[in-house]
Amino acid sequence: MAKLQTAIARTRDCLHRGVLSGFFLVLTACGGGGGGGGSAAPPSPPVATASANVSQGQAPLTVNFDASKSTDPQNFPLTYSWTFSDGATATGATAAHTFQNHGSYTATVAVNDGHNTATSAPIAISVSPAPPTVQPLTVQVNVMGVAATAVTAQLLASDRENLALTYTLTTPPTVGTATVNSSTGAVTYTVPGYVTATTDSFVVTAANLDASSPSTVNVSLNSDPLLTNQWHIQNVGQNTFATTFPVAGNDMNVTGAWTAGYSGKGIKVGVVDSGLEAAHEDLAANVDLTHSFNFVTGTNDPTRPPTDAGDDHGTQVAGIIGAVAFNGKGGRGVAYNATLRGYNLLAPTVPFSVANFGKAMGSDPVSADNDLFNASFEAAQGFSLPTFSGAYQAITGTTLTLRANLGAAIVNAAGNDFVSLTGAPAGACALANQFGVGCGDTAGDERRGGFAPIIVAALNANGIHSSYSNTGASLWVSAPGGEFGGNVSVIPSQFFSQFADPIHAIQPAIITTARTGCPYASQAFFNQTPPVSMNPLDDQGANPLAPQCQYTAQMNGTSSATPNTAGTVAMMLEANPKLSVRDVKYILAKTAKHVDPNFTGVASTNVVPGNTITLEQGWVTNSAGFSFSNRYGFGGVDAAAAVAMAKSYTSFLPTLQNSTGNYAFTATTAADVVPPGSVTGATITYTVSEPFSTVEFVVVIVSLSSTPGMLCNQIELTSPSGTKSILVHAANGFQNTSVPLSRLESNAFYGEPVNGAWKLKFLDFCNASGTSTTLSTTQAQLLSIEGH
Amino acid sequence: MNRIIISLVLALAVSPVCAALQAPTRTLQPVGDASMVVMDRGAKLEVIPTKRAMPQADATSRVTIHRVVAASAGSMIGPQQLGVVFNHARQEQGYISGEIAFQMKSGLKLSGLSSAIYPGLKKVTNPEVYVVNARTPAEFIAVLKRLQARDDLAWVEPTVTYGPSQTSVTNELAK
Repeated sequence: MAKLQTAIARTRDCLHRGVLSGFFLVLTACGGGGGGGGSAAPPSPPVATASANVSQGQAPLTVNFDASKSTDPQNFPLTYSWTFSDGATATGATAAHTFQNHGSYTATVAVNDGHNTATSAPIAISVSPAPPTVQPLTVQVNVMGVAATAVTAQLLASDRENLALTYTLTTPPTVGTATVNSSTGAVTYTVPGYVTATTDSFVVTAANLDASSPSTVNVSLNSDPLLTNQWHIQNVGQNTFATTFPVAGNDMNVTGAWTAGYSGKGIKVGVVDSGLEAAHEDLAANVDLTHSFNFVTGTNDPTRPPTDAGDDHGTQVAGIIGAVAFNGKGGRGVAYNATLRGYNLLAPTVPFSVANFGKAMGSDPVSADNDLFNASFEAAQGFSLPTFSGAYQAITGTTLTLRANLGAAIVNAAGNDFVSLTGAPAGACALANQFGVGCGDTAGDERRGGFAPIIVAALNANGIHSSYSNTGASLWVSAPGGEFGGNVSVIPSQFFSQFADPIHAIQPAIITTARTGCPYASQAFFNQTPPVSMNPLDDQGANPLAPQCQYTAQMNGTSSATPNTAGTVAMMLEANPKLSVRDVKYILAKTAKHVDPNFTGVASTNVVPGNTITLEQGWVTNSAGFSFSNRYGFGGVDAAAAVAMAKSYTSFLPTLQNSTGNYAFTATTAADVVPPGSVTGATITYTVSEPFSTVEFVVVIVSLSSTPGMLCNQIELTSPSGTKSILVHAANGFQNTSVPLSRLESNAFYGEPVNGAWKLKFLDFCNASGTSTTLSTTQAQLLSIEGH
Repeated sequence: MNRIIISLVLALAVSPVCAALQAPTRTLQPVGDASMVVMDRGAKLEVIPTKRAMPQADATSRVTIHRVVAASAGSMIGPQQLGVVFNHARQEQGYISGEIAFQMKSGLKLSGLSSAIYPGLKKVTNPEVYVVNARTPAEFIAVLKRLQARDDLAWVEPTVTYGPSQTSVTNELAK
């Protein structure tokens, strides 16, 4: 209600006290003279009486003025003229006037009876500014989780008089913190790291001279509920659903890449695998079906049909690379903005073929514009040293012509045969297990051959070699692959006892997407229907974070290490699209973490008594300064370092050159036998002379026969700089009796000089009785080098 | 001109030491029918014409198992009914769909191949890499030998996959 005031109006000779009339302030004024007198006396002036319904308020303030109480002694008809101090005028006994802006105003009315005019005392009107208008604001915060996230947004406020506004934080948020720029209204909201809340709010007040408007700023916190468990992204020793917790710090250092702004956006990744659930709630937004392919149906949707039983390895792999971020579902992919394309080359009902391999790997328009390929597969039975394949070599070589000849990287799994070789004869891995070296080897799959593949070994959550991960001289790097993710609180005891390796069974695995539907949950370990619960996430839908078993915490293997690396490569290519495959490989090697620095290899005096035989070297630093081991390659992928180096990288490698010399040795007689039980063996020396100087890749193609198999045979290559690489160790699990044209590759010499004497040594550590190894007399032992 | 010096040094003068490792005793599978043997890059590949293998997913759906059945020698082979071979170098049973890949020698272009004798001819990738698809074991042997006899090809490779037969289990995928 308006506050009324009493005012005194004084005119000429009258003094009237203002009186209240209803809610109106009444001011009156007397005209001159009045009454008495003869006929010549002039008429008495009217009495002006004015009132207003309010005397103060916020602009725009409309005031109703009333002068109808004015009187005239002669009852002459009156006219009214209103004057307002803002310059406006009005007529009539009553008048409404709106004061648009703040200020102190007066209003007077002049009353005229045709003879005289009386003017009222001024009515004072005080108008204050209207409060600012503030637009509602909701701040979308994509919670980085692994680091603080700060989002700045502009609070939009306006003042109808364009008065200067000031902003203050009047109620702080409860989850994060907020600041406001007092003069601009820019608000900055910050969460320190991972948060479980999905909303927050705070109040900012915008004020002008003396009016203010509070505004609630709503905050939508967009995160990924399983991110906090994904140790491979950021390892803080958290709960990963496995019994054993990870050792903090052993992650892929994704944080720095993300906070630098990289997420694989615009990079197209071919997921060559068993399938890819295109409609998965945490993948769909990143899946590109137009460039995917289903080799079973001939369509572009690689989703497994509902009638297919079992899980989908490819969906698990895809989630590690590019699960969608900030959607409140599942975890987060390493390259969470990458484009995913699926090729179900490994669908179990489709036999592997060269034609399909080519189609999935960039030799067909459906896959030819991929920026990289993820190949998380290995030979079904990798217990033979395979024969070199020109077909696979041609196809992987074609990938080097993609991206306008910069090449599309193939990131390839090293294999999971360290302890056992599936399908191999009994005892095939006995010696490997005895000495603690790998039974399988990266050389066990001809599809990994050649310069193109980046072969990846697995690290567990303690930062060391995963128990299953293949070793080999053709490794490039290592990345998180975890162990088996079991939890004794969930696994029924009768199943837990089936684990051959109970220690690793309960160590963290990788958390990622899984085929939607609990009937499809992984049966990888126990082959039970329904699947056995493995941990609190893989719990037949009981966990609200995976009610449809659409997420898993038991993905592992070099199949997991591979997409972790692929995600990193995607961010590198986003940071610097000019990188060639060779540049990518260089950067990965250069920035790799020196994991397990105390690893010294495996040597024994029990191979040849009286001699210490090295079956696996530890870290060896070559003459170019690169540290390499057959267990870790150049070390653990450091995503932040790799992306940072990629961003500033300008020293692009010069044109790749292949050795042109004929570095071949063909045995001429049956006497070219590798002496059994000898620590000296047989050595071929190749004297290399090439017009290029720096090694990038060394290949040896061997052809030999060995009875009863490759066990006991160790093959070593030593560079002109004196760096030794064990291409095959004597406790290997290869069962071949004949090794025709088998390709052995080594990255241990990366960056070393090309030219000089390369020594290829064949050793047979078995007793002479019943064994023999002879070099082929029809196929040469070949050496070739690629470099610049 | 590059000068190449290659030498082989055999350590025959060194007396063998007493190695602790004992080679396991193995019984090698001999060639059953020499007429069914073809050479694949130095390995003997013996075609077993009277067996076929059906690729199937196991219960986990990750693994391809091969249900091997008896068949007439003339029955078709293809992606869903694989032929069976034995690789004597690997001492391992393998499976063929009939696919054979080959590449023209550098600078040469493929021409004049009749689909009648090179069935299912298709280019796979550059440069000049092709596949053909034989439809029976006999045709597989014939086409493979025909291709191997050509002097304009850089290499010829039958596609052979390996994996468990029905009773054993393995994993094609790296977990």
